[in-house]
Amino acid sequence: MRQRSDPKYDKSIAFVGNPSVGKSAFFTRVTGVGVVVSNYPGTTVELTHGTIKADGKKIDVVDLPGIYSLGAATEDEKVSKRYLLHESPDVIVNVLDATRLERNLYLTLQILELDIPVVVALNQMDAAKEMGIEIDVEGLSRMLGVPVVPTIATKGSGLDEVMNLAIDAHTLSSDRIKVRYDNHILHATEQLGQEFPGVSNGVRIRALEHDADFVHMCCRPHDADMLLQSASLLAIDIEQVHGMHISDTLSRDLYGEAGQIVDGVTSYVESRSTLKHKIDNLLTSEYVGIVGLVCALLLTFMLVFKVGGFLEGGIVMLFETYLVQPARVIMSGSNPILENIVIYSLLGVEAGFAIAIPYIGLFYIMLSIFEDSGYLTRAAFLLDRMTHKVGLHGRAVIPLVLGFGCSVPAIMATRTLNTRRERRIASALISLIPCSARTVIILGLVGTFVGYWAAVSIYVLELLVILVTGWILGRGLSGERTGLIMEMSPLRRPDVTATMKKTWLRIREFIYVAFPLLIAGSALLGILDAVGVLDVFQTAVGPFFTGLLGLPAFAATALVFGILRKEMALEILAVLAGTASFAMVLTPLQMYVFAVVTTIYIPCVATIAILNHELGTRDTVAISVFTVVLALTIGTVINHTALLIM
Amino acid sequence: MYTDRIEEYLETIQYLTSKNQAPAKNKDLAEELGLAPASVTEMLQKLSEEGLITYTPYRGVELTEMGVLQSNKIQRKHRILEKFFVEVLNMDREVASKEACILEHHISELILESICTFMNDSGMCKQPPSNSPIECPTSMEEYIPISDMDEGDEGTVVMVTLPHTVKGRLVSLGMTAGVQITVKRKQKQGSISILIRGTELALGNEIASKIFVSPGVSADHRQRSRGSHS
Repeated sequence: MRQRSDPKYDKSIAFVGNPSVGKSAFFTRVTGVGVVVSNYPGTTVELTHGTIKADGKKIDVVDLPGIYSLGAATEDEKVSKRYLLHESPDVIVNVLDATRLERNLYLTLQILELDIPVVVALNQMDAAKEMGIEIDVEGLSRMLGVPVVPTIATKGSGLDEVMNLAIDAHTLSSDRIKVRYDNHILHATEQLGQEFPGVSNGVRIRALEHDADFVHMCCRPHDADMLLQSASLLAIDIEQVHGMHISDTLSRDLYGEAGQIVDGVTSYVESRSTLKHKIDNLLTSEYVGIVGLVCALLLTFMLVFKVGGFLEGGIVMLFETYLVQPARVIMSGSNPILENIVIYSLLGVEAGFAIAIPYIGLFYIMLSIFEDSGYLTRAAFLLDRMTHKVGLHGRAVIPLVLGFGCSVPAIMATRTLNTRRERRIASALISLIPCSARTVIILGLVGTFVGYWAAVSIYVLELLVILVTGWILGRGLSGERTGLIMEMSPLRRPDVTATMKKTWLRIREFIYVAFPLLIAGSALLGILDAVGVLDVFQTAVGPFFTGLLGLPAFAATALVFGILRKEMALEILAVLAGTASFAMVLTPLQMYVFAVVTTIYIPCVATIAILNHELGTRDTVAISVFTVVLALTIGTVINHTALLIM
Repeated sequence: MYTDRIEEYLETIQYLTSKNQAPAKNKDLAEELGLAPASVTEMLQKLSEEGLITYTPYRGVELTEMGVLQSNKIQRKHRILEKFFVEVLNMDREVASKEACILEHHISELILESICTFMNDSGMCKQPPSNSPIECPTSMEEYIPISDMDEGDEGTVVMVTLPHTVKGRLVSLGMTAGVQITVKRKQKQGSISILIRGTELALGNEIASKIFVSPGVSADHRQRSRGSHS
């Protein structure tokens, strides 16, 4: 019934656990492979594989997105469920948070019903100790009937033991815990077991609950249908006897069992972290919380712009002096197409580094601190009411904030939202949020040559556009509406190494996603430029462009380059204008309009690619067309209104 | 609310007499109803004047034939309502009984008969099952949604009226009937966060207003509110 996973490996081990229990930190420590660790629910959006070698064996280690139960609902939870049932790993390492044992055990008990060997890693033992929770680890192991190892993933303690146990785990222990379900349920599963031998208890239980998805994932279609049919007949009887939905009976019994285990193995001594409580209360109080949030965001952006701008200048100078200029010298006189390919590609790489490291890097450092400290969930809580106005609930704040860094990871993060409707709204809004590349244009062009307040006004304008768009989408888009249901991450002191590691991984992710596109796109533009296609385009579109937006024709070409990377529009503008002192060639109004249009019109290539991947072609085309029309409209209105007034 | 009081008295008297197989004592009645004996005596005189009870000083009270009829009428209403709540609205029996205790005094015959027709169960409506006495707690604390609770309030979850998928999500986060919760923080008309099974859960207003709790008391305390279980 089960398929073997990848034949290249001798064994597969899957890491399973609730969101934000330290599972990814654990995984990173064990494999050295980069995955992003977070203290808010739902960052590990795709399966991350790593390889370890032990005793000459090659072992495939997989980090699954965090789940609360096997009846998964969100996109990333479905990924976990599918892997567990379909690929069926040889061993499961179940990571638990010792500070939230009862709720965590709910999943553990469900996992133990699948016929897969399990090793439990009882993580966050340090935090539990701080909270005055003491856990009898041996007792827990005895009760569950599987090995339990206390761990502190961020410090690496206990990890080796867990891995050794997992590697050696072969057989199912017979004294594994059996949940004391209600008699009718036990009877029904027994009956199903006789009818369908070889189906694990977990599957039988899920069949009783009529989770067709689940049953189909682990059985052949015919068997699955038969099993579901038998189970539903039994379930009807049970529901009649209990007068309640069978899911309610099952969850009651599971939590009952979990509660009894916790009562049996934990004891509480006096906790001493009252300061933490005070801080926590302050962070989410009505006014202090909001003011604090605004300050935190302003501080982040100040820091990113000041320090980022400084770093960017340095990086650009280094590239120009040591790479671009020498290349120009070497390439001069060779085939113009070849020359353009090389020079444009190098410019692409240069801009990539100049954006990725100072802006995205710094932004992600700040973001990691917000995430790992648990602050982001508090912000989501505070902003729940506000986000309702744009058709979303508070949880969407997390991807939206990510959008200020880069749209690509932000759109990927929408997978943690519950419904497709929410994902569509959030993705559309993220496409409009001024990411760090667009920030470069706003600050570099308007901020420098027009004035500080003019730059601020563009942000205000953007915000208005986002609010109105969200309001319209929220009203107009059909689909299931849900509300905020989010676990609040415990407040924790962010760890410096974890923060740096995470930032590096995110930059690396950005490099992987964006750089190939940057280089290929830049080279293509180089070719188009060399063979004269761009000149034709400029002549054709120029007059129209000048009439509407009041911009010189070459600005149209710059905008085309901006599709590759937003901030490239500015660089190309400089190239085409023949100077980086824009005040000499453009009026303040022209600069203002140019910045507005560039920030709003069509998402960059990388964003388009990820939109297409996440939402499909129809939505991507819709978002692209919408943003182009919106940008041209707003640009035209600004241009003509200003001309009228002046 | 006057008929309410009368009906409550009648029900309680019937309960006590059937329990003790003897006329109900004034003192016991006062205790059951949570009232002062003096005000009970006053009310009993009124009931006696209306011919619903016979009141013998130093012995106790019993329902007259008319009193029994009236009491049975309310019980019938209670049973039909409870059945409707459990079978059609899928409510928990205990919750259903409690809600029926409130509604039984206010529901008209017209609605009651409409329910019978809807449930296509005229048999039950003619002769409601009377296997156990119905008891309604005298001071009824109503179930309230979490959104109506204040910071620091405690309660026991009794019912979640949300679509299946959303409910499933809540269950996986620890929200089941009977679980004890404490409100940790609350924003004006906004989201609310609760402590549940050792974790903190943030809920939007639209979710919190669909989760009902029995406020203030713990589960074992709840047993005291007398239900009518079969």
